Amino acid sequence: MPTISRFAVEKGSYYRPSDNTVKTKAFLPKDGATSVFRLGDMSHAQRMAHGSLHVGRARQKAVLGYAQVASSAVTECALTLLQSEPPPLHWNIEAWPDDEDAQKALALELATRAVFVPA
Amino acid sequence: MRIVQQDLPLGIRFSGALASTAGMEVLKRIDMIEKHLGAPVAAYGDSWRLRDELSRVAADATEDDWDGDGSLALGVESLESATDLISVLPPGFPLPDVDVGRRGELMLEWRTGNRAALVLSLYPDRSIGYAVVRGQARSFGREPFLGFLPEVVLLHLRSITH
Repeated sequence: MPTISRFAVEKGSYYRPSDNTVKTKAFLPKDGATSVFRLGDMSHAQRMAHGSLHVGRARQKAVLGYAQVASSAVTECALTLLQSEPPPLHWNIEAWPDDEDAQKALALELATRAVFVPA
Repeated sequence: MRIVQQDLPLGIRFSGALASTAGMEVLKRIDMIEKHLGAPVAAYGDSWRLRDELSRVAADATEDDWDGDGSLALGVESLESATDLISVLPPGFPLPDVDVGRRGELMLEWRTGNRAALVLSLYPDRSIGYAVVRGQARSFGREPFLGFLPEVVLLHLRSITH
């Protein structure tokens, strides 16, 4: 099943460390898009290395893990996934509604379908 | 810019540079929260976690771009609304996770099951946004906050907690 990964660098902001469930904020868009990666059949170690290189280094923070959700969940929310390289394998979730609360409902939907995979 | 290091009223130790009066105002509000929440939330028996979350996010979000991802600093008005809202939550409800949204609004999030979750957003204009997922259903909206929980918010809160 194809998945997307959203890397986290802030403890507790994107996920609940107590049970590794994902929070709404993990998927909220910034400037109309949510930055994710499609990492195919990469291993966990390869995913973490990719995130550290392309997210952690840019933010000057350690990558703590990633929220992972099926790509199909995005389209089922009437959102779109568009390839946006560089960095490699980077995609954006786009077509968010303008209404902030509508955005949060969709981000919440994705969050409830996602799991957080810690480093 | 002033370097401060102090023990905040909620038991956290803050050390860092506060570059804005807004940041200082948020820290003052933490003191207000403690005073405001002391009595009512104690009845929930889980007040320590809410205090911890509020103090954590307030101390983290005193400056724009506090998360390195462009989010605005926590707005004092949002913190004030959250304080008021939490004080009118019915006794016995589970306490929410607390986060700061991209526009500096406080977000209270309940996750009570695999497909049962609610997010309330406290906006600077004292409106409450809600977004809820329950089973296959999803809804959202916004209501004015007039000092009590709007009926629709209360219904959604009950729907995911009972």
